[in-house]
Amino acid sequence: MATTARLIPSTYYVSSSNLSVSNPSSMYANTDSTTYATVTNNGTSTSSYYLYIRGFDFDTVPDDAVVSKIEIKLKAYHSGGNTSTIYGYNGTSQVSAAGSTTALTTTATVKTFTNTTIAWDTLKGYGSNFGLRINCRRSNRNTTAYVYVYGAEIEVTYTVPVYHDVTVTNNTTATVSPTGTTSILEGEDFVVSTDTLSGITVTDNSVDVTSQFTQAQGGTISAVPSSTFTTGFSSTSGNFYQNSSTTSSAWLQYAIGHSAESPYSTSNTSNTYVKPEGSTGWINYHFDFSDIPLSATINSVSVKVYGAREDATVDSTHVARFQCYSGNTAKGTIQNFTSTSNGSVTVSDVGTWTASELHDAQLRFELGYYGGRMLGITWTVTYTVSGYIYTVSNVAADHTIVFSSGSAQPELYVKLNGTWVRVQKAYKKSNGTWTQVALNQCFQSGVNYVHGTLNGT
Amino acid sequence: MASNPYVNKVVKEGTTLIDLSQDTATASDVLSGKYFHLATGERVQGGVVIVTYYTSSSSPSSSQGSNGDIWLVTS
Repeated sequence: MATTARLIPSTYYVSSSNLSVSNPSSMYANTDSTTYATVTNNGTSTSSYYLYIRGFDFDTVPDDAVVSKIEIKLKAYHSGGNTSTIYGYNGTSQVSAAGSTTALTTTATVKTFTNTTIAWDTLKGYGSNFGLRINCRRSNRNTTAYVYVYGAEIEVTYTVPVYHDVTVTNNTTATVSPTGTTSILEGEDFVVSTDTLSGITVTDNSVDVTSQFTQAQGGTISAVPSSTFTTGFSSTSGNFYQNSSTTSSAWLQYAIGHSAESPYSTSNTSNTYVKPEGSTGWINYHFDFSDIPLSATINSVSVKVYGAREDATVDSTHVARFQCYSGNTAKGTIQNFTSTSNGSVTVSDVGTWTASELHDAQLRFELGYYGGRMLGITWTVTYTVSGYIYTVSNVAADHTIVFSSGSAQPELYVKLNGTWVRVQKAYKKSNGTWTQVALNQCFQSGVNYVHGTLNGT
Repeated sequence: MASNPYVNKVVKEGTTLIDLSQDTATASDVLSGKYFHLATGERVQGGVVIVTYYTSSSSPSSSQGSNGDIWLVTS
């Protein structure tokens, strides 16, 4: 928040002994003053004699202040004088950058310098040598000239940067950056990159932030693989919020109004992977972006999934793939999980989106018989409304799962020890190598099969 | 009537020494790789293919089985 200081003078200097000053302390005031010091020209000529008003208290302004405005003012008038333009002076040298104001009149007036362009550091550097010079010249030899000074001031508008010491504690084995304590300028974003939000503690040592931070996460800070979350400081309320600067306060409001459900999308079998029985199907994960105004311009959409395929083979039977959707309209391109190990995969092509389309944002996870795992989904959307840029991330899936069966897949059973047992996978050996084959390609008509026995069978 | 190019019966001085004309074996009755004679006397190869399949709860190792074998993994 900006502060305005009114620096008042504390000394004066006259260029000639022909000038006398009475009640000098009355001029050591700002321009609100109603009492004045009197300067009398006791000379007998029309020579120019000057009063310099000096000793402005520059130390009132903190050393690390960022000065945005300097304004010089003088409240005075004259009687019997023939004054001239008033300038700022460094000792007896004019400081052009300080600007000037027109000559005094015979009526007490607050006069504001114009064309003041001087840098704060330069002005402050003059110290007690800087002053406002007033010509107290007589208009004729026989008339005593008087100058009445109520006060003068240098108004300085400035802000002082406020830093918060923010400590990030990583209680997990995840990769987190930064950790330890970082000094953050109030009003700027503080970004923590992490593979998981679970076990990460962010503390602003300047204010009590725990409750606000928890609230911003909707009550639960849950693990989201390879995600980034942003925190910030509200320069107006003094509280610590997620993204609570001008940009991010809206993010906070958005988050509070959001479902507090875990961003995990858990599998529907006890074997920790989704495996449609005898069919290819899909699960639609829905994401609530309804708080993004329809008038918003969508700048970017990024989707990251965390999971794996259950079987290394990628074919029509071994399906574990995903694609963004808006309603029933596919966006971008379809993409396979390629690894059987859990990992984070950024959707390479999410297509282009409008705010309206985001209101029905989904991620479709399509599965074949051998299945796959979808352990987490993270959307990050950046959009612009009325010139402000907002970022929404870690939006939890609402877990409304739509499962639609697709085409039937072959099933194969063998009778073992009097019981029919379903075959999960089939291999055929060729050139010394076992290769997995589809169940409907194992057996051929016209071929006789015998059940063999080997070690392990 | 076309004559049979193969010999399926041998008779010497009124005595039948060998007679295949009443045999009923076909290629589907004999293992592939083995030879036999049809009733016509033609020598042909057997056509019966036998493939060994194994059942197991785990995937096969490369040292197990032979080329052409099938391995079924059951739950």
